[in-house]
Amino acid sequence: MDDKQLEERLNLLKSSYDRLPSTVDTEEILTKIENEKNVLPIEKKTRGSKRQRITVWAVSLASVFVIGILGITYFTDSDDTTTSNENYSDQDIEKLRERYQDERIKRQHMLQMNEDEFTSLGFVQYADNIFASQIEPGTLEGKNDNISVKVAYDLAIEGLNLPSEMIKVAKSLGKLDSKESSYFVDDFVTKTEHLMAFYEQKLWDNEEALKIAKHEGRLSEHVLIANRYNIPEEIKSMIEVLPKQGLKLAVNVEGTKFQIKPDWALFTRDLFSVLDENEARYLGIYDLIPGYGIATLVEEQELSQLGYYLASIEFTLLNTSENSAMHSRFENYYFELAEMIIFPSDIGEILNDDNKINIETQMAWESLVNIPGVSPLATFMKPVVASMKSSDWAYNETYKLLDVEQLRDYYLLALDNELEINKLDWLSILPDGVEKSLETPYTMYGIHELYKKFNENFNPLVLHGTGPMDITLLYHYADGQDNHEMMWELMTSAFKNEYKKEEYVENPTLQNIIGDSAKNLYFNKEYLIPDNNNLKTYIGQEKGNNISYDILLRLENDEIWRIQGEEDYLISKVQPVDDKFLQRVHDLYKSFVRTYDQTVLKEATPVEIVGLYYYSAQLKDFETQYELYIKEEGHLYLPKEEYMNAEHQHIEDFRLEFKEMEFETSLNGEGVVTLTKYPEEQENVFGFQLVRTDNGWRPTFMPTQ
Amino acid sequence: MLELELIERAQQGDKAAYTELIHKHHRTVEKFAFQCGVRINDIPDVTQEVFVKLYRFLHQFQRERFSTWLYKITLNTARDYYRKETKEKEKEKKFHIEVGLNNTTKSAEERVLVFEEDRELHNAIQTLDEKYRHPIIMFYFHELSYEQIAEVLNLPLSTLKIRLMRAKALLKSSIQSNGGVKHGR
Repeated sequence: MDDKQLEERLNLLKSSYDRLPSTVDTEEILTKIENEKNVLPIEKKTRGSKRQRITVWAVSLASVFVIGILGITYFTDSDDTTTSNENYSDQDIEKLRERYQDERIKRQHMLQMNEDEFTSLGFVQYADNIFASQIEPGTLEGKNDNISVKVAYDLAIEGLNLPSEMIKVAKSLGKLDSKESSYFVDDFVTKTEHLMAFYEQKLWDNEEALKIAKHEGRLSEHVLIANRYNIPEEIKSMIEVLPKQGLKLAVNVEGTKFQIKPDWALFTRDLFSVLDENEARYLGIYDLIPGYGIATLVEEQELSQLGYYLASIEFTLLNTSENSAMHSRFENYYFELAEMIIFPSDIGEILNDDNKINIETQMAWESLVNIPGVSPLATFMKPVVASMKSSDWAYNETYKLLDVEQLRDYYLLALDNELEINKLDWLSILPDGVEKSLETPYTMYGIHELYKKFNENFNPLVLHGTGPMDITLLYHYADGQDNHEMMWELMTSAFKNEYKKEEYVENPTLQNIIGDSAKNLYFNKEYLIPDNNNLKTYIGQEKGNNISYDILLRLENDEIWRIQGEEDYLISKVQPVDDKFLQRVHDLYKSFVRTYDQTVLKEATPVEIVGLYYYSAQLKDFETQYELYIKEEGHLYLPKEEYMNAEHQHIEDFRLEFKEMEFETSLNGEGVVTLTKYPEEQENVFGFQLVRTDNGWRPTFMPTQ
Repeated sequence: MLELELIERAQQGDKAAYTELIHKHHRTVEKFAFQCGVRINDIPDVTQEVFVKLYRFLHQFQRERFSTWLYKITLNTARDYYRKETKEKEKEKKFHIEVGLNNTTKSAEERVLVFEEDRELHNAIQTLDEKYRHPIIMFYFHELSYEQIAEVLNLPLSTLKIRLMRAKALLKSSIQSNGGVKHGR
């Protein structure tokens, strides 16, 4: 069958539909409309008509609530929150009416509109309706009796407030809680959209006249603004008013149509310190997805970036009130966008010629899988991405089984706090190797932010998705701040089971995990080791000229990396005894031999200390060798004279004596360097005991016995 | 009276004007609802609901966009209708296997789609995912433009075009795999 045949059949079917019986009962529809109170349409031009029977609550819940909240100051300084209309004479009401008129005219002038235009604005109609139904004589049949005249008047005035005024009012009230914030955001957006709709209509009405504003064939807002004295008056005044209400003139992607868009970067800046942090996020994402739905976003952004936007929407939805208008609106965007990214209408859109998922889609999907914390998207996409990655992103059966309804289920679970935390795929998230400078402020700035957040109440979710290197830095930072409680929170549960919190907080046993001389921290995937169904890794730092991977972290069951205070063995990389190593040991020898200042060796690695021990023997410098020994209380050692006179091991060239060294330690402060001797025979391996002192590692007396 | 004038008068609360609007558009609503999968017996309920809702929203839209809204509201009403219904009837379903109901539905449908070919194509459309079903219906049975459909479904134009292409391909393969009854009237 070809297209033409199909279209013929569709045409025939179309005429068959004419046989559908008609059963419409107009009377019944009208009766139903009549019976439903409050649904008469708001009249556009005849303000204050007595036929407006719309109650306050049906008009705009959002509007009334936010006004109510912002009007808390009014509530508290007036007791008449109950019905007390008896106190208001007709003259009083008349006065209120006059004052209300003055307030209206003030805003009308701010917007440079005439009376009819101003009255056509949605939020003005709402305010008028509050006034008409609650205050103005003769319209009391729709009155909500729980609201006093005074409160209703204040509500009406607040309803008239323009977006710019709303910001001022909010600022004067100080911090709003999440509920108040969500009402505020709903109302703020509603008013903005009423203005946008009004001005879009103006653009539409003046479409022809605006065609002159072109640059290289495309409409241009800049040309229009530059020519504003030659265009219709109403567009000119629009251009003046827009920025004052957080709006701007823009042109669509094709360059064929003027549009009105929110311009909130600076306009709403002050709101972020006043509104609840999570609710305020809607202002940020609304700026990206204004009024028109996700279409604009999809048109303007790269597919690979859309995953990021989707994740932002998800995070906002899961952390904000479910009752707001913004929540339900963005819920729709969330599923629409998810469907667009995951289930394109044509699978060909996301496949390469070799039937593999294209790179943009891979990036978008991977960003979904790696959303930290509780994430329906990550939970949903994980099996598919895992199966595809194992087959080099070939289109597969797991994908075909994916059903968007499952995402809805996960989403509902997440709203009820019943979705488990997304298990991150650390083996793929972590890079092969990474080096982080400890000297750039940038590194520590991020850690400082993390510190502040985690310090609020040590909520582990804050750390979800944070890699082992940043956890190390956070521990180090907390150490610097003497925040021992945070240090404790960052230790593994195994450690916490062994020790008492009070004792640790009093005197942390693991401090200064990053040495003073370390300029960088290192992560190396070779040290990412599976361990009891989980992972462990070692973070490296410079010690002397070496990188010592000696900070151990474990990934725990709650998917958070924590510092392991108590590890059985730490194993360093195998160190070949070669010319390079000799050079390092020689440098160390030279700086030590002059003064025998023990602090010189503070940063030397255990292997270097052992090297130094044998290098001294090679030079027959037994005094230096003696200075290396640990001479602390509790450790056995000989008087110097006796040692010098004793018999010593003869070494010609320690490079020819030993092949390699390897260090193992337990964190109780002892360690062993295993030396492999030439020739490499089976039992030609022996251990060399070291103890950790305040000045670094030192041999015990008779270290090899 | 011109349609725009009718709408404006209805927006101002003129019931006679609204009655006339219902008369002009109820067939569109009925057919569209049926094509979108509403059962014949439920069409009166859905149509009524659409016009009640439309009245509620009347003041909100620009007159020029009346038909876009009509389609939007019909789509949403049809969806909501079965969503509500599913919840209410869930218990009932457990006890009554719907043999009877299916029979009546079937015969009512057969009175509309007399030819087997039509029923086959209609059913094939019904089995499409709604993201393909709705564009096909609006494009071929209601002759809406790409722009209008994109507006009703809130989709970018390019996505819509791709969905339409894909929908046609799916329909063709579905009919062919069913043996493809030849149209014989």
